[in-house]
Amino acid sequence: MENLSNIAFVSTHFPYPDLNKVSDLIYYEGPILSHFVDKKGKNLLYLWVDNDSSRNRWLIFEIDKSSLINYLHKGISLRDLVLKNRSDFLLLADINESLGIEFSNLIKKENLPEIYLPKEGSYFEFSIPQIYANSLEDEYLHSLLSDSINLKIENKTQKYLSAVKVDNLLTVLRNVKLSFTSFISINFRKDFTSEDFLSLNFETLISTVVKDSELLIPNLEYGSFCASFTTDYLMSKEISPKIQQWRKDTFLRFKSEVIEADLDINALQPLLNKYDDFDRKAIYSPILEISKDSNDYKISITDKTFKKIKRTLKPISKPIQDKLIPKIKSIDIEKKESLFQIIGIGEKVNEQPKISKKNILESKELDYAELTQSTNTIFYHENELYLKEQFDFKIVYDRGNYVIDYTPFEIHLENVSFESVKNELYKSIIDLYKRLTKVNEKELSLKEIKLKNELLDIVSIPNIKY
Amino acid sequence: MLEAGIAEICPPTESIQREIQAFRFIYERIEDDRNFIPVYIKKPQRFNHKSDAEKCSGFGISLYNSEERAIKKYSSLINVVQNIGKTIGTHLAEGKILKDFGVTTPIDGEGHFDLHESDTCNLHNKFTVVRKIA
Repeated sequence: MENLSNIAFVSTHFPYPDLNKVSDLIYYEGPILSHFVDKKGKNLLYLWVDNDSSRNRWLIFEIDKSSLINYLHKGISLRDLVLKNRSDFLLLADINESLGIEFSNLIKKENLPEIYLPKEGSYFEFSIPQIYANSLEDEYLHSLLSDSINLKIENKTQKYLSAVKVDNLLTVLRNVKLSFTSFISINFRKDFTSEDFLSLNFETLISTVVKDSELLIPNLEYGSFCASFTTDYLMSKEISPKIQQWRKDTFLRFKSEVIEADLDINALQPLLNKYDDFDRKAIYSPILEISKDSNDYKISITDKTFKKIKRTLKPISKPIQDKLIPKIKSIDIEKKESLFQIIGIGEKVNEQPKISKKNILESKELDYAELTQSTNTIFYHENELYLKEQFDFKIVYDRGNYVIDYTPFEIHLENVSFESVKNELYKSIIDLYKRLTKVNEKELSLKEIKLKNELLDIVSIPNIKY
Repeated sequence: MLEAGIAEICPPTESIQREIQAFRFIYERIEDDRNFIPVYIKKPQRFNHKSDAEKCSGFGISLYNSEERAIKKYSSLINVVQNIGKTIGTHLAEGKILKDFGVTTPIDGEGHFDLHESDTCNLHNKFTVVRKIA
């Protein structure tokens, strides 16, 4: 066995008496990784790391339930559970054939012999023991709800008793989502730079983070309409553990800085310092819109059970609103784009409609539309990808926002301009092509190799400047 | 001699005699005493709190029905414990199981099955080392 004399301290007592085994998580002709719980409900993992003729050595460390769930669902590797453990010191215990503890050694995480550490990418590749099947679901829901934003939406009038109009409900859900999505992407750009993730395309990374941060509703109650909002930071396999922690922190910041914020003059100044006019508009105007006095519904922030109302969302005073979201002058911003549906009488020229202005019978501004676009060439600046077949993609227009969700390449884009969102898609695909074809295949994950092959399958002639 | 509770269920009733190509993790030298001893006999204390079915499995010899599946399992274990070779072996061996070697449990989704040996079975001279895997 490895000699620990220079790297660990012998502990005078074993700090975890009276443990109960919950289950072996990994077993092969004996336990490899086991889950124990102590009398106070503290969870511990025992990882077998070494032996000699008479003793087995176990690495023992505390773990919180949500990290355990995350590990069992392949969201974090065992190596990261060890190296990013909250405790600086972990325990190495030598246990003899009669299951007696001969030595307990406290060792700093960074002093652990490399041979005792799980390898990079040591995600859980085994069956989840039956004992966790139900409790994990409960724990997961519990963890989703632990920091959730809980809102109650009620009619101001008694016209429909407690029944809430679908339109009002959709407006609230959409605006909370819009505000949160803006908050995530704006703050990601503030907190990170492309230097932090050298091997990844920064724009694609932001799209992935926004997509992974989708708002979820883990709890609902009817009568009036009550919903808990949260985002998942356990199940999705993160590009980097620091992003996982960042997403968790950022959701909590959204809750305190936007939804639960009391926007008085004192709270305003830090926001003016932190965000520019455009950012504040993107984050705060959807929430101000659903807090207006003129709405025929009201929104309250409640506790998790929706029983206790903490406060009602109220409009902010005009002077504060003018400072928070100043009117952006037309010279500063391109004219806002809207989508129209035009009905008119015309003729078909080359299979395309031709309608003169005077024959337009009706033009209607649309709130929502799904548009299918096609191209045979993907181009951005001097880069071109000529395709074997026509490439179709969908653009969803939703009240001023154009959204592209191209799942095969994991691209999620949103923009207020139709042309910009299309250009962003082309740029993302070209960046992806560049990255995947430039890097040695040995450095790509299996998923990336699959993605690369899918891309190569659709491209006929690449004209790329590396 | 099996304990009373285990003897009633061991080998499992669904076990059958069969001829099958099999793969097993072993230590480098095929003659190594540890290579073909059921884990329950090697380390009975590991089964102190195990069910009778788990104890019964401990009397079987763990095998895989393909080299690929055996290596896949070994890779997933060595990812977790780099020293895994010290406890389950460092090499892969291949041999043909014949009907008179004993009975085999059904093959699971990972290609794993147990051989419950007959009294006359000696696997040391039926297996050969294929490659180092640790």
